[in-house]
Amino acid sequence: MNRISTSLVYQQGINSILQQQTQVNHTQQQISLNKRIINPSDDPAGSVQLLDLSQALSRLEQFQANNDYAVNRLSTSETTLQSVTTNLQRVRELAVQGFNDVNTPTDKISIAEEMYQRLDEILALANTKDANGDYLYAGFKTQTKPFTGTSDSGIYTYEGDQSQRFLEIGEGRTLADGNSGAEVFFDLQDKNGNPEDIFSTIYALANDLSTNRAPVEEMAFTINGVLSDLDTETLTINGLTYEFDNDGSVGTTIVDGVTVPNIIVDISDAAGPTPLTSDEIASNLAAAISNQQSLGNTDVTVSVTGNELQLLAGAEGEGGLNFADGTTAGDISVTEQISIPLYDHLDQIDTALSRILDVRSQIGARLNVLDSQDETNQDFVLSLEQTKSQIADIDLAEAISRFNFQIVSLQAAQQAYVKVQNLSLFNLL
Amino acid sequence: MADLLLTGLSGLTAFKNVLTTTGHNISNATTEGYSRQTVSLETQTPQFSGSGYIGSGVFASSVTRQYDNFLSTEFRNSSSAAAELDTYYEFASQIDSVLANSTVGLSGALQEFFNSIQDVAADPTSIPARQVMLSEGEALENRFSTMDNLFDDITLRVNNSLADTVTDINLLSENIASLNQKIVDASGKGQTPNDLLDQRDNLIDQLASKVNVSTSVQTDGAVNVFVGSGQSLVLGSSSNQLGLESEGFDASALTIVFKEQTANVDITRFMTGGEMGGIIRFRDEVLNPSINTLGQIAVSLSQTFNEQHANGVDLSGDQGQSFFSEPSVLIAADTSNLGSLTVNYAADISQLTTSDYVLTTDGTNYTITRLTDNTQTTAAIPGAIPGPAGIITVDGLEIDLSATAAGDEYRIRPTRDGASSFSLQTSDPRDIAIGMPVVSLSTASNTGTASLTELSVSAYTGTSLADTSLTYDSVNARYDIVVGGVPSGSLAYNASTDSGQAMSVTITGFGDVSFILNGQPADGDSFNLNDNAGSNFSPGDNRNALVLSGLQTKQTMADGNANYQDVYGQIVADVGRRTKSAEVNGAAQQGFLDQAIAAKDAVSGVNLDEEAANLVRFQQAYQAASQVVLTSRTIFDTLLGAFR
Repeated sequence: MNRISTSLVYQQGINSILQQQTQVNHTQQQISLNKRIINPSDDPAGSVQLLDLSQALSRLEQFQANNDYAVNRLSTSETTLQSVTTNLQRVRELAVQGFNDVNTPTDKISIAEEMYQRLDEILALANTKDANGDYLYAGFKTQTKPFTGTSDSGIYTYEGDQSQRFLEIGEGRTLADGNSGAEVFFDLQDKNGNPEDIFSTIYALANDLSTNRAPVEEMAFTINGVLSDLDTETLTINGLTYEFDNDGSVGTTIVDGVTVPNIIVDISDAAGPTPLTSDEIASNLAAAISNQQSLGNTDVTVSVTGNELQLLAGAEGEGGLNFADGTTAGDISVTEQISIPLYDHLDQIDTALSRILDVRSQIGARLNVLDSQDETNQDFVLSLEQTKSQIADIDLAEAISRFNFQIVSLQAAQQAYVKVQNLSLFNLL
Repeated sequence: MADLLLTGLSGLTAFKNVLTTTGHNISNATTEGYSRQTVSLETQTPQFSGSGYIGSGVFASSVTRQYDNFLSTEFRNSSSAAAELDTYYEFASQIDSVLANSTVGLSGALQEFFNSIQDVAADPTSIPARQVMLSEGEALENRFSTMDNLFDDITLRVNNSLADTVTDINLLSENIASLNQKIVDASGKGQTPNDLLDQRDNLIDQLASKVNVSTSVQTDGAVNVFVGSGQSLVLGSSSNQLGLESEGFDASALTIVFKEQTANVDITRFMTGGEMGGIIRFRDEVLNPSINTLGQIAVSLSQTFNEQHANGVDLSGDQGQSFFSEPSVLIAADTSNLGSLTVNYAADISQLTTSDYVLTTDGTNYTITRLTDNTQTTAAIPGAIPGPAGIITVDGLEIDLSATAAGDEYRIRPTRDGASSFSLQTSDPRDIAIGMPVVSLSTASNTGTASLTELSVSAYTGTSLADTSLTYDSVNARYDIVVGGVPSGSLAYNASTDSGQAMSVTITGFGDVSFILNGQPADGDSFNLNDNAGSNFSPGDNRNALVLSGLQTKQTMADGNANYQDVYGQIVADVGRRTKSAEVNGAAQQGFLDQAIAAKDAVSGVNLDEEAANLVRFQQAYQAASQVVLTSRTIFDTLLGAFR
């Protein structure tokens, strides 16, 4: 026969009540906090997942903040560049209108006046600051005014750098929040591959318009040869023949049936121990041409830089400059071009316009990326929140029915205790 | 016939004894450790007569307690195991509830801190954004110190509990020894002193709930009690003492010693079961690993963050200084050491473990033991060739043995102080190094399509960069590098294979510059690399902020397999798992204990109903016996009357 000691009966009754109370308390806590996991020990694996999820969520929230920031900057940039485009288009219109020959020089000056103003406006736009007071187009040098220069001097410089700032907008995804001023306004090239910038292009255009510059033919040539190559070789410019000469004897040329001596370009080495360099030869040639001009024999102006000569015809338009190269191939190299102010500049304005449009389409593309990244991030947030909720949150219906059941069990245990407590033989003695 | 009176009297005496014992049982129904007592009744020696042996009544031969040694031992073992798990759970659940707590745990502060870096990246020149980053860094420091303080508190409570437990054990041992003496004395009279035995068993039960003990009974009735690996707490009527000693290397780590006349013996690792076993197991399995892991995160975070921060330049164009305090390795030297040891964190901090190490040396060889898994490595102290003399690298630590002496012993604790010494070093928001020390300027006259992107610097020395150019040489398909006007090597570049590849150039005295080259350069195309200072100074540069914020998810820990949060998650899971298992096992053990109590009580416990029945039964027997006496008187009276 199994004996049960009286104190055990009491103890077991109490234990059972305590146990039920613990469970009721835990469930109550779960319900009031609406959490399934109160301490990590409730679900160790789940709580680590929760930590990871909350890190992922907090990062996503930060990405969204970065995303908003990038959208802000890019939109400001887009608006700014839109204004730049409008201004550039106006400048183009003014150019087309201004170089029309019906305009008097005074008209042209007043049109140029508007161009200068548009130039100032574009310069101001290029120096736009963002909401935080940083220059938009200064690269990393956000505290330095990126573009300096005035329409008085016509000299413009870029003080920023070529860097782009990147922001993290998604896990492992970075995106530039702007473009450097060099890329947008400065590092342009004209059709000949010479460096150009928007500001000096407009300045030159307005300047040509206001000074009523006539179209000219230009020629540049570079002396490559030296004494030994060039002696007795000739060049003919607008009917005058120049001969490189080392020994004082020159040939003649028949012009309009008249034999005239060639114009001497002294390249003799008698003057010094070393032969003349190509720079010195170029300089001597320029002097000879200038001399003819001062004599009234030709309407060609010349300028010289190193071994390169720049010839400018006095007469307007094509054919103002005739040039015959009598030297051996390779001794000099020649480029020729007709420079008509309007066409020169229109080309450059169009290059600038298309650069701005390029940048704007880049910005548009980035804004699209940001838009879709925003959606992706939001989707992620939603799905992470769902996962998090599945792990962390309590199923209320289940919890409440469990709670009720536990309360019923507790009451049963209490009632059983009271009943058993009353059972004693002593009561009946 | 005279015997009838004596026979009746014997019944009266015997039943009075039985009733008294029943009363004793009823009175002690709730006394802890009490065993129900029963009285053995025996018939008295019968008297011989011609008609045979005539019974002469009853006598109470002995009072015995209902006691089963096997069941008691089982109860003792169960209560020992249950007390261990209870104590373990009670302590572990404190840490458990703190780790994942969003207001105290580390996780939230880490996230906030790294988010604030991204805010600075979005607006590098904003002082308010930088100020927020500093505040979040401070919050991180607070979080580390809050947790560290909490661990300190728990360590203190662990030590106090150990002290209390040792005091209890010593007191119990003394009492058991003195009871032994009383029992031996009392047993000499031929009867067992039941209540004394119960008291002693109860004391041994209490002792077992403090720590696992084993017992053996001597022939004279005394019980010997053994603890640990056979140390005798109680031997007959004498008792020995346990004591607490500070560990030689760490004053806050207490060891349990068995006090002997000659020397104290460290028996900490034999202390299993009971409250003491629970506390020690908690300390080894939960508390110390938690402190060390938190320290490991603090050390890795400050090391990796500072290293990257030093690759950047601040708003004044200066190299980034330590953002957080530089952590240091805690070394405890044996007092008898003659030499000294220097330990620093190695360059590859990802190898760092949470373990403590013991290092000994005999002058030519050293032995290092990793305490978490007791891996022992013995090797000769390296000479000057090939590396610097006496320097070894172990688990992310650079240990300099050159000043050690033969016979030295050191305890190296790389992560113990990590969390408590973690602090923010930067106070001026302008000192946060968000930019990189080099900027690139492509030359406007470049005619090719080449571009140079993702320029960054590592191993930055803090000196300024002389103007550097990379100029493409199409004949040799390479970029010629000129640093400060001096040709400094070249970088092979073939657009068809190398475009988009990461390149790195070491510029002596400055650092390693890495970048990505794209596209097809034309001959003579060049890139300029300039110092991010002076006229090229770029306050809007956020490149270092991107790298710094990337550290949040970079696998800089656990041999390159985990980031800060991962490691923190591991300790959260580990503590959670251990707490959970202590809870589950504790519940199971409680079940065993209940069973053991029920089984023991089935034999020894008092059932009041049974006693009530006994009371009725022996009261009746007593009344019957008095009737016998009465009858004997009546008979005697009848006899007297016959002669009247």
